[in-house]
Amino acid sequence: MTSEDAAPAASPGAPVQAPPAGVPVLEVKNLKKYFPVRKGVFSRTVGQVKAVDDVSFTVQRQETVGLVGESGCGKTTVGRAILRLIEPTAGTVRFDGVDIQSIDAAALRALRRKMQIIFQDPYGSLNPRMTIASIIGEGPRIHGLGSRKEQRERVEYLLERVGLDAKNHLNRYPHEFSGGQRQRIGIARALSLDPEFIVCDEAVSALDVSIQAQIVNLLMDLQAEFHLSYLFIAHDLAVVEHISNRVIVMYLGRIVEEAAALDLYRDPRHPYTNALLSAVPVPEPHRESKRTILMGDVPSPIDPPSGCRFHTRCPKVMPRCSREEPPAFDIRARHRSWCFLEARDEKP
Amino acid sequence: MKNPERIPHSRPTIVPGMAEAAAAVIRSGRHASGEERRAFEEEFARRLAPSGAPLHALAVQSGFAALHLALKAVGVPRGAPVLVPSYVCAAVLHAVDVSGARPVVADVDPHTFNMTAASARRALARAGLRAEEVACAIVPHLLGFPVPLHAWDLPIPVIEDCAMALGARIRGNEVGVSGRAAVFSFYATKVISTGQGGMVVTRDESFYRELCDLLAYDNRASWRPAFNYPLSDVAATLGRAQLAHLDGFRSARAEHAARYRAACGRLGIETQMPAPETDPIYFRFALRLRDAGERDRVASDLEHSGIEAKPPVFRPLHDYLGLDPAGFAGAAEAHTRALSIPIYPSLSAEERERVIAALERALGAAPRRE
Repeated sequence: MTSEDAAPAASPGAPVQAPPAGVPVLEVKNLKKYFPVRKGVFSRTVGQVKAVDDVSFTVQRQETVGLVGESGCGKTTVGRAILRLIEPTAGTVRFDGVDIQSIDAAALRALRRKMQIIFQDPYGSLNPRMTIASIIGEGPRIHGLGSRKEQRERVEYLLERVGLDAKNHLNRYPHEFSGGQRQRIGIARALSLDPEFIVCDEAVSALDVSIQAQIVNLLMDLQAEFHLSYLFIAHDLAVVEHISNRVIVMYLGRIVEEAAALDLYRDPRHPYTNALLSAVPVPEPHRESKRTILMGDVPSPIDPPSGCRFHTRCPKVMPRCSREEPPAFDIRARHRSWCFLEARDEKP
Repeated sequence: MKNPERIPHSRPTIVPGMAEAAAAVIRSGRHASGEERRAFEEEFARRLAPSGAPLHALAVQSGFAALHLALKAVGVPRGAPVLVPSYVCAAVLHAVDVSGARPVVADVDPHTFNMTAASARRALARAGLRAEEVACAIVPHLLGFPVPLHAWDLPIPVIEDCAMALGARIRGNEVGVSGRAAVFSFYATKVISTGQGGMVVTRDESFYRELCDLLAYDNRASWRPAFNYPLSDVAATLGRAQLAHLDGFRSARAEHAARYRAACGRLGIETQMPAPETDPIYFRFALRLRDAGERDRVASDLEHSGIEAKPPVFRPLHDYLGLDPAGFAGAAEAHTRALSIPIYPSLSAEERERVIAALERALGAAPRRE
C-alpha cells in the first residue's frame, strides 16, 4: 500500500489500544433470549418464545464465523443480543474480554464504535432523507472523531474503498442507488468508526447471486485491510462456505453443530447440517445427490420439543432423542455435534 | 474356559505377497542394487503427491536416519536452535543432538497433543529467540494426528515428522508435502513396515540433491562426512508391498477409531482430538482420562483383561532435559492423562469389541459425561 492509499485515521490522536493477546474478540457464553408471549386484556405473560436458548461460542481476531439456520432459529437474535440492540435474558457477552452487560452507557457507547452491524435490507436500513455523505459521516460526527475535513476525507476514502465513486455519489440519496450499491454504502457506514468486529446480518441475502459474490469478496478484502472479525449470519450455506473460517449451525434457538468451514462441508455430522447441505444446489446437472428432505415445519419455539429439539424432523431419530438432550460430542478440535449419533454403536 | 489371547498394544500388519516379493529379491542376489529402493521411492512420492510439483523421495534405514539426514541437508549449524515439541518420542531429541543442534522445546496443545504456532512462539519468547534465528522446526504429527500446517505462520523451515502419520491428511492432502521436507518411519509397528526403515521427501530439488550427496558414501573425489543410510532392496520390497495396501490400512484404522470414539462418547471419555481441517490416520487411539491415577487404574484393568495399553509417549522431552515444567502444562497434561489402546489393521473386530467391553468394565457402564 502506498502512502496515498493509506486510510485516513478514524480517530486522529486517539491512543490505539493493543487488543489483549490471546483473548477472543467476542466470547458468548450461555446466551439466552426469551421473548414473553402476552395475551388477554391485561397482557398477561402466558409463555415464552425461547429464541436463543443457551448458546455459547467465540470469534477469534480476524476470523469469520458463519451462523446459519432456517428462519426463526434465533441467529438474528444472537447477532442483536451481542450488540446489545436487545437485552439478553441470561448469559454473558464479552467483547475484547469486557462483559458488555456490566458496563455503563458511556462505556457501551465507546464500545459500540468497535462493533458494527450490516443489515440485510439495503433499502430499509439507509435513511432516505440523508445524503450518502451524511449517512457515512454520521457516526464519526456523533463520536466527534477528527475535524470536519478529516471526517469528509474518511467518507470519501471509504466510499472509494467499497467501490463507489466518491465524487459523483457523495451528495446523492439512497433511492438513487441499486441494491448492491446500497449494501456497499451500508458497509462503508459500518467501517466509518474503524470497528474491530462486524455482524453481517443476512448482509447479502437480498441481493442477486452475482452481486452477492461481489459483496462477499469485498467483505473479505476489507477484512484483510482493516483486520476485521465477522459474525456472518445467513441462511444460505453456499455463501457462508465461501467467506467463513468456522460455521455454527443453529436450530430452534440452539447450536447443533460447529466446525471449521472445510470440516463442516466435507464431514457434516448432525442430521440437520446434512439436511441444510443437501439443499445447497450443486452446479453439476448430471450428479445424482442423495437429498435429505426435512418433513414438517419447524416446531414452535414457545414449546420446543423435549430432548433433542430436532428429533421431530430428524431422519435418523432414535428412542433416546426425545427423552434426553444430547451433549456436545467432540469430532475434532473445535468441531462439535450435539447428536447422539456420535455415541451410537453403528451408523444408521 | 480358555483364556482369550492377549491383545498387544502394537502388531505389525503382514500383507499378502510380502514374503514372496522379499524372497524373489533374496533369490535374485541383487540385495543392494538400489532397483527396489528406487521403485519404492517413486511409488511413495507418487502416492503422496499424485499431482502438482514433483516430490522427491529417498528411502533410508530408519526414521532416525531420515531425520538426521534432513537436519544435515537443512544445514543446521552446530549449536543452532531447532524447535521441537516436548510431547514426542526421544528419537527426535537423539537426531537433534547427533546433528549438533540445540533443541528449543515447545509445549503442545493438550487436546491435539501437537505443537502449535502459538506454543512455538511462546517457546521462542522463553528462549529469547526470534523466529529468524531458528534453523528449523521439527513438527511431528503426533500419533498420526496432523498439525494443520496451512495455518502455521512462523518463518521457520519445517521438517514434518510423519513417522506416525503416513496416510493422514491436511485439507485433503497427504501429510509430508507441506514443509521444506518430511520424514517417515517404517519401523515394525508403524503405519507401513519394512522392519526398520524410513524416508525423506521434499519438493525442493536442491535439498534433494544435498540429501543424495550426503548418502554418497564411497568413491568420492573429495572428502565430506557421508552416511551409509540407504534402505536395502529387501526392505524396500516389503515397503512396496505394504504401500499398496495403505488405503486398506487407513480404512481399517478409521473403522476401529469410529467404534472406539462412539464407545468413548457413551462413556464420556475424552480422546485425542484431530485439529480442524485434518484427518488423522489413527496410528494410535489415545484416551484422555481424568488424571494419572485413572490412567494407571484403567491400564491395569485392561491388563487384567489381557489387553496391553500404555501411555503413547514414554517421557516428555522437557522432563528429560530438566526444563522448568511451568512452561509445559500442555505436554504435562497430555502425558498425565493419555492412555493408548490397541489399534492397527490386524486388530480383529472381535478383539476391538473386547477392548471396548474391558473399557466399559474399567470405567463403569454409566456415562461420566456431565
